[in-house]
Amino acid sequence: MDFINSPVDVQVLPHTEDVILNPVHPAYKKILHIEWIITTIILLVIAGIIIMTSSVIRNSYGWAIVLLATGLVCLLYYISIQRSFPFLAFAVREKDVMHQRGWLIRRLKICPFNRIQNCSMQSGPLERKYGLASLIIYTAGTTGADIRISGLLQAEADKLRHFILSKIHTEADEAV
Amino acid sequence: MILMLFGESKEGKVNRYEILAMGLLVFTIIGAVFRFLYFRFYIEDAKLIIKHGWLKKETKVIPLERIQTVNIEQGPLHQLLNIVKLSIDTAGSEKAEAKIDALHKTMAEALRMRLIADKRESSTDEQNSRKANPILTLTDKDLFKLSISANHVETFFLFLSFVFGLYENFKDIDNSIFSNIQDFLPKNVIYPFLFLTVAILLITIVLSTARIFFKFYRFTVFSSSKGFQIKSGLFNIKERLITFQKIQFISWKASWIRKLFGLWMLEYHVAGADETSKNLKVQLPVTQAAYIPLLVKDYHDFPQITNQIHIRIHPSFIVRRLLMVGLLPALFILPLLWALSNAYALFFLLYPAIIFIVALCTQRKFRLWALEDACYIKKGVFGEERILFEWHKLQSIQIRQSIYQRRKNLASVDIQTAGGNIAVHFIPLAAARQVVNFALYKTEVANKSWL
Repeated sequence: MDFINSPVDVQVLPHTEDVILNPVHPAYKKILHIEWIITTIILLVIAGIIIMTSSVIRNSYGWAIVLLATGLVCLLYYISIQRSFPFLAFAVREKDVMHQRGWLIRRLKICPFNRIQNCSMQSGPLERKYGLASLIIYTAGTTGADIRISGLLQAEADKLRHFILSKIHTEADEAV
Repeated sequence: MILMLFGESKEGKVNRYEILAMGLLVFTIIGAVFRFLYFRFYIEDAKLIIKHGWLKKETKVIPLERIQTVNIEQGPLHQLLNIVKLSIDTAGSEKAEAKIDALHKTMAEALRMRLIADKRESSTDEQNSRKANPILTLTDKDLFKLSISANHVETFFLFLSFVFGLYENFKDIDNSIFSNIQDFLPKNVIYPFLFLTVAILLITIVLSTARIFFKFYRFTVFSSSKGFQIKSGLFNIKERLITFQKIQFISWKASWIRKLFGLWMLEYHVAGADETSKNLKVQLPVTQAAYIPLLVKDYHDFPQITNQIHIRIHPSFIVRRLLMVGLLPALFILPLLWALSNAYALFFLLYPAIIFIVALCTQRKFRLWALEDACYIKKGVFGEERILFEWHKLQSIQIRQSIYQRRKNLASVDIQTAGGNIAVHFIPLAAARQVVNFALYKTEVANKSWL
């Protein structure tokens, strides 16, 4: 069934749903795990501080609840990393870039080349250790319009960045 | 500073701190004077050059072709002295690229003509026709209706939270009084509570009415070849030029009260302005629905939607909203409230009911027409809102599905533009995909500029 009121046959347009996405590098999962460990440690320390300083919580069974809640949060965080990692993927088409992420809520963000303002590469300390990098694509949109692709190999990210930058310049020349 | 001056003359003693304060005052005045003296601007070689700064000299160069619009603003002091504040917007930037804080009114208008006229090498008759015809004005009666029907609810809740913050403070100060009150039956607490709420309600209505009144006082829209010139304000008069190129999408809405009055509020969503920057919003009160096509047609033809296919929100949206936003938080908050007071807990049961009603109205009203060049959306809860968006103005687009949506073949689409986001919830997956594919096609193939 067609939902578009246009003489253009929507069925012959390129389908975003048919694109085969490239998953990010598996080493990125290790980085996510390390971040999880750090977060868990911090949360446990905070929980510990709360239990130590508040005698109210210590006397009743409050300390068990606090620990349980912290444990639950960390567990959920871990599960979400495991479940959502397979869906981290991206694709570069002729005229745009696509990025997918998320497990519970799966998102696919698409940005046309002729709307990209700028493209930069970022590498945190963890990422550098594993030879990975993130690519950030800036658009002129308001909050949330930018695309951030994490988990790319450095060489891959660099190649992609050059490709996108060259695409921006050619599109700018063609545009009005 | 002034108080210290008086204090000093009374006592006759000269305090060390007062000398410091006086010194600071003098220094500030001298600084202001120097800043005034060291400000120069001129036009040379199709460029606006501004030189300013006393200790730190700065030169700003703005090519005239980059200037999108020149806005003029007058605070109450400016109005008294017949001077204006000029600000220059360039392509794509959010705030003013350059500001000239005080100019004589006639000089400012001449400058503005010069700055904009140079953009297109147009002839002089364009400058002559600049004193263009006002196409839309707001009569005092309509202004009053507009102010009364403003969104008091928002101000009300802000005010309420402020007042109850104060109440909590008072409670701590004198516990004895309040502990007695808590022994009373609930009835004795409700009356002062009710009285306070009504008083707050009245005050907020007065405040937000006044705010809207001052903002849209003598509202007028002039039409010129560049775009629309919008002038309004009482204490703060703002004059802005809106070039049609900068408009990303247009929306017009009317709350249920405003619908009764026949008033609509049209908003041009321009590049750089989103929900957070209220100052950059361009809002036009419209007193007759017939004016709307007039204000829209320079952006895009007013949509013809009879006999066109449209997309609707799936009914399961209502249940999901009720569950996730209504009942789930209630599940956590209700036991807490029950422990505090049974009465409060009962009141809170209203919350999921409200969520349900809002979701129901939202689902029933929503329509999306995917037209050839633009997207036309009809939505609203108790009032009505329309959005008109040209496909090629999109910056990026996102399609998302929750687990539930995946099972039911539904999806949500977020269209990101330079003027804000447009969200479409819970539509059939096939429709969402077609919209996304079509929107991308229009953006990528047409190669039309979005600014």
